[in-house]
Amino acid sequence: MKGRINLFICALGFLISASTSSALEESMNKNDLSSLLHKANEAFQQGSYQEAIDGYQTLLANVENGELHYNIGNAFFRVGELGTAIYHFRKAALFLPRDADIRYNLAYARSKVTDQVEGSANLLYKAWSYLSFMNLREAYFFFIFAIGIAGTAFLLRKREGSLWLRRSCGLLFVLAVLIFIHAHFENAKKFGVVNAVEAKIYSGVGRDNVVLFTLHAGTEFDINDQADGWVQIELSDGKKGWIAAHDVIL
Amino acid sequence: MNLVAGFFMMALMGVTQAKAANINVQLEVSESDITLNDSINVQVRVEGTQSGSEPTIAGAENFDVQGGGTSTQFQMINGRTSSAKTFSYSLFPKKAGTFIFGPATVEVDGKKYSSQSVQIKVNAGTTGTNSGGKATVPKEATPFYITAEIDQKNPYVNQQVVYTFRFYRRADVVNAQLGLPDFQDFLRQDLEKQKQFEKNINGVMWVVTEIRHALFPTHEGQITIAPATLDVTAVFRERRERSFFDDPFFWGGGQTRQLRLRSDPVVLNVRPLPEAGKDKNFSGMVGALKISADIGKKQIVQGDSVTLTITVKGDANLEGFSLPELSFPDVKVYDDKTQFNTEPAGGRLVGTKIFKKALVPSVAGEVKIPAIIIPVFNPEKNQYETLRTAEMSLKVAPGNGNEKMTHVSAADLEDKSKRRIEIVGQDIMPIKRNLEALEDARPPQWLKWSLPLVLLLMLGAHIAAWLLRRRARLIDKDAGFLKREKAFRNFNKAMKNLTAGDPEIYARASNLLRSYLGDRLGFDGKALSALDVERRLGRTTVQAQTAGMIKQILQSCETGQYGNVAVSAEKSRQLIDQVKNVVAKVEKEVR
Repeated sequence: MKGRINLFICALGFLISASTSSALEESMNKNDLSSLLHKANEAFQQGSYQEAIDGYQTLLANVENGELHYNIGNAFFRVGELGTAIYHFRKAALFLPRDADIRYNLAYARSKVTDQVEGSANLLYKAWSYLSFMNLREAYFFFIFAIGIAGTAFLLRKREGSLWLRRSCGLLFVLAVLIFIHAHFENAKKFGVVNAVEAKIYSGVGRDNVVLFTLHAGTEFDINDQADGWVQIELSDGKKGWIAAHDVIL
Repeated sequence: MNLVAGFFMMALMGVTQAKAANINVQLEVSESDITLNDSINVQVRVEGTQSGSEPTIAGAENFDVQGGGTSTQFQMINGRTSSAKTFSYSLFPKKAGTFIFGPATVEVDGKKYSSQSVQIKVNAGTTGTNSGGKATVPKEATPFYITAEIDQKNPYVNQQVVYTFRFYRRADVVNAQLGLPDFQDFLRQDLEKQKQFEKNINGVMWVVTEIRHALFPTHEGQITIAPATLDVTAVFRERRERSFFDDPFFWGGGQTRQLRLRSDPVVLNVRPLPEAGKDKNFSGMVGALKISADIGKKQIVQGDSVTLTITVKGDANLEGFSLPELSFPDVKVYDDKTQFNTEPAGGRLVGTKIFKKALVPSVAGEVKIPAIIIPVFNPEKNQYETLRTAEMSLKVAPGNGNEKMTHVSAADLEDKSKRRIEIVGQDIMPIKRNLEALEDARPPQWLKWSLPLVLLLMLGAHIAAWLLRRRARLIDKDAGFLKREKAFRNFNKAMKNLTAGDPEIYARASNLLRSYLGDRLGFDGKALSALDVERRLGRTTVQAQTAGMIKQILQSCETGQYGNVAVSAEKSRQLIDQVKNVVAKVEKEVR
């Protein structure tokens, strides 16, 4: 019995040592988070951007929101990591789609990108993109509200009352469905950004394949597949290829 | 005890394992044999850590170094972690020669780590050659070059000279950053917008991008305009057998190279203006100029005003020029608007400045507006000359005794010529410091679950509403529907009041049964005899046996009611049970 207990203690110790090797933060309480946020912000103001990045990354391991992604994006921008900055600005825009500062910084960072990739000029695509004025949480609430309103209007449809009011509720429901689907789709979409200064895109997994084209830091792409440390990417103009995972941020 | 110590040691090992990693610094260059126009991509890769100070690299003083950013990598594969930090740079050679570049030294946690060094050869020519079988610049001629020239090598102080920058190319570029000199010895104005055209030079077609500025030297002496630079990312197609992936869709497998192009410096000898012939009221303007003046109306009434418009036009620096103080006898002069604009004409910048003055004669009669004289220097004639307007006269009719004073507000005296706002810099917006950064903005689990719940709730409400409407329709269509629906409930309710030993048990049981049958089967049960009730039941789905039992119960109730039979508790309990049983059967058999 004693031997078994000793064995258990050894195994537990080994497990703890193995898990400490990986970069994991324990859950922090609100006071710790507040103090860490303050330190990270002060480090940024004083120009200690790497220290600020470390602080924001620790915070992001506990909570996720637009403000943190925006701040860490700023810090990466300052240290010259354009690709990582754009990645975090895009993440921030998912949480705060109406924030003018985020839109401005994302546009400004994108203006520094070397590669010019033609986006889709499709009208439908443009109309679809106009639905991005709510984040996922707001879309949930709006959808639930619209279900309640439209459902009630539908229940009372036999009663005397404004036809236009009921039709408006119906339109509201349709809009809520579209916004919800859009927000869900955008949040679920897998995207990445090139963060190497220059990266080659190959026709297959591995450097012994044909080089199709070259991308530079800040170029954004959608992720189609991942295998063996490589990522299959697709640009908005349809170009596809494989890129080494260490040249991108996902 | 030993085991507990061993346990803590293992835990500690894990912590230190996270910290102690093999740190290795690698210095990589994209090329080692280049020309003065070429650039080199350099990477300093620090393996084993994601932190590390900015590297110091020996031998960097022989190059212009541009930072290309940093990137960090972290991987965990099968429990093994690896991390690295990469610093990227672009190097532009300052001079030809062979140089040792490196080692690169990085400080991590207070310790220094160094890489190897590399030898770089910078050739003085303008064509580049590479090693390693990569893409080769065409050897017959360079595909890019820039020029910078001045139209006047010996101008006078403040005389306009035109600086022309041209970029010649006959290959693709994906990025170009222009570095013009700062022109600190000049006043500078844009001459015209950047333009692009094609030019045939010795049978070869070039694409030319041209930028021109008008410069006005601010002092005499020799002035050297520094070389202009242009950093381009040029595209070179690899020379190899064509494959499917050379299709333009896949962008032909081209490679890019960073180049820095430099023009030659431009030297001017700026001459001072001669003293001979200089008017004491010399305006300072140097150029070919014309002046005109107009007062619009030739006749006014005393007290009214006219606007004197003086136009000065030419290739001098008019922006800072102001008219001398105007003073006319018997005329009050008030400043009005000034306008200034420029336009390219004949390859030079021509400015037009329009001065407006409000003139209010104080006497009636003929008022003379004398010529306005502005001494200038004409560099084409190498002499001073005088700009002179024509003399004008104004007929002023007597007023009505009250001199009408046109009120000129302070706002009218201001120079309202507006200048376009020039953006001189751009930067990102500041960080957010609000406490919303501590809130988790992801949708909580309960919100995700509430969506299907609300949907189910709504669906349930709609189903319930549909059922209610259906019931209401049934009630509307069939008057007896409600009676039939409530018959059994009403029977059960009334049965509770029926007690064994009740002297009226027979009458009440009979009435109860008849009421139930009447409500349930849609006839007036109280008006029929027991036999009739049995016959009526025969027309329904009630079985004959059940109908027979009902007839027996009703008949025994009649006997008990009218036959003066004594009611015992036992018999009344039996009667109650029989009534209940037969009603239950009817409920089962009626459809």
